[in-house]
Amino acid sequence: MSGPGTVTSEPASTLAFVWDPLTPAVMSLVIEAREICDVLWIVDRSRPEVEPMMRFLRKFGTCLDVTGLTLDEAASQIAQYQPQGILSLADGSLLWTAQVAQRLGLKFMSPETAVRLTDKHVQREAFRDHGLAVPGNWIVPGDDDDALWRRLCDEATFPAVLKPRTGAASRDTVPVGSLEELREIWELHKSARDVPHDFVLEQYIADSPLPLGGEGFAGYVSVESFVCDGQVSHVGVNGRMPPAPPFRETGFFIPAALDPGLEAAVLDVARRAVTAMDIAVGCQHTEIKLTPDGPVVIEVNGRIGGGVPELLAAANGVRFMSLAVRLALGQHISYEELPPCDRVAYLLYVHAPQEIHTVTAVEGLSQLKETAGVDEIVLKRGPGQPVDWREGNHGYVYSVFGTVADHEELRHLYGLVSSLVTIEGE
Amino acid sequence: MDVIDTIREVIDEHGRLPAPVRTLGDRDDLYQNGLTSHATVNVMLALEDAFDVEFPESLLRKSTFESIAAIQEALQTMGVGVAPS
Repeated sequence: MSGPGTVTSEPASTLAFVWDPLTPAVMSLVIEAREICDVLWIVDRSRPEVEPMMRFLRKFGTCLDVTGLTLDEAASQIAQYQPQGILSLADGSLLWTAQVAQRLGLKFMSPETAVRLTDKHVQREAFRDHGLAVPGNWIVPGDDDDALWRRLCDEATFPAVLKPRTGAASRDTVPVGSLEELREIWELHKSARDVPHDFVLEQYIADSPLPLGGEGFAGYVSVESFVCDGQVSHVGVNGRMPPAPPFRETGFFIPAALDPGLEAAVLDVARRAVTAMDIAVGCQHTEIKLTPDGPVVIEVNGRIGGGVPELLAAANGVRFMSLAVRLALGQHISYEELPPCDRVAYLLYVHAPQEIHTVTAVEGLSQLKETAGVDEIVLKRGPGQPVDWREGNHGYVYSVFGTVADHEELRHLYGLVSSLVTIEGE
Repeated sequence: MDVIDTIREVIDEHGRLPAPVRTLGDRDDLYQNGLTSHATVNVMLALEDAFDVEFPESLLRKSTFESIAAIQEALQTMGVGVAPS
């Protein structure tokens, strides 16, 4: 078996990259990809923010516009460039990429796997089929489907969580205490704006009374992994800060603060969950809840998690974006063990309180920037800009990125953030 | 219009900052004042148009765009604002 991060075989020459507005870490992606291969950027101008990005992407390769093309037409156009691999790093483009990859005979996830990775209900069924512990999960039916509503009334248990069937980043995700509350929230969802997608109701996995994720940290983690030739390798376990209500992520850090026995159990559940997705090749971000009965998988995402490449690079030197490109090109890569970390890298997302709709002031960022261990602060919503908790993780006011020596320093820094910086709003 | 004024105008138009650039000093951290990674790309492209230059790969890193002064220094390495010898 290959050693840690061993790469065998020569780089291929052209990668077809399916661009998506939600592709993470734009600049590092293009620079890392350029170091390895020629890039054919596949763009669809009907998606938001693609047109201005095309000029940037052209600096780093060829742009192929597939706007309005059928899958067969797109595949035929891409084939003319003879790519050796194809890649997408956004949930919204996985299925399209899988369908095109299949037509081109390129190694990627199958369309069935892409559905499994983006449809929460289908994914839970796959977990169940593979013997993994899974919380109860029900499709929330449309108004006119009385039979499905009756079934949900009979089977659902509470407390539960209502979430979009194909959503990400905790967008539109809310706790639900009872069937009556579900009906009320469902009506509100519909009247607040058009319901953009189907919803699922999931049994809430209760928090452990013990601080299994480490004192002061949340009781869930994510595992950052990749699959190559059917073999799962893990590159990091990502701890969490306690979420902001209702389920907004407030921070990530690598490595997580787990004891070695629990970490081994978490890695095993992640491996089984990824295996259940039947992935041939690619990167995954698997969320796992820590319960008194053992780790329980929440979900597997078939792409790199937001902020994860930067955290890994700072904590253990793994270049995850580069690794994703090399995997897509057919190189064999494997890690026998979790790469050791010599620092704790963190990324905090600081949200406004749930009742605030417009930010009026953010004070104290300059003082925070002077703090040891703080490398970068990015203000996302400044004075006068709207915030909405329904945006989930992406609705944060500012982010803080940096590294510290250990988890104790991280706890101290986390405390400083809330004492030094104030967010005011109305 | 001098180089700094043009940089400020570009950031105002393409940086999507919550506050006008005139409220910021040349050394103030643009990210801390609302410049996102996607907006950075737009600022970079607009700077290329405004100064008729092309940012080399070696300058495509976050620190190049972290302040107005940092952008000015990057542009200087491309010959912008440097008096001919």
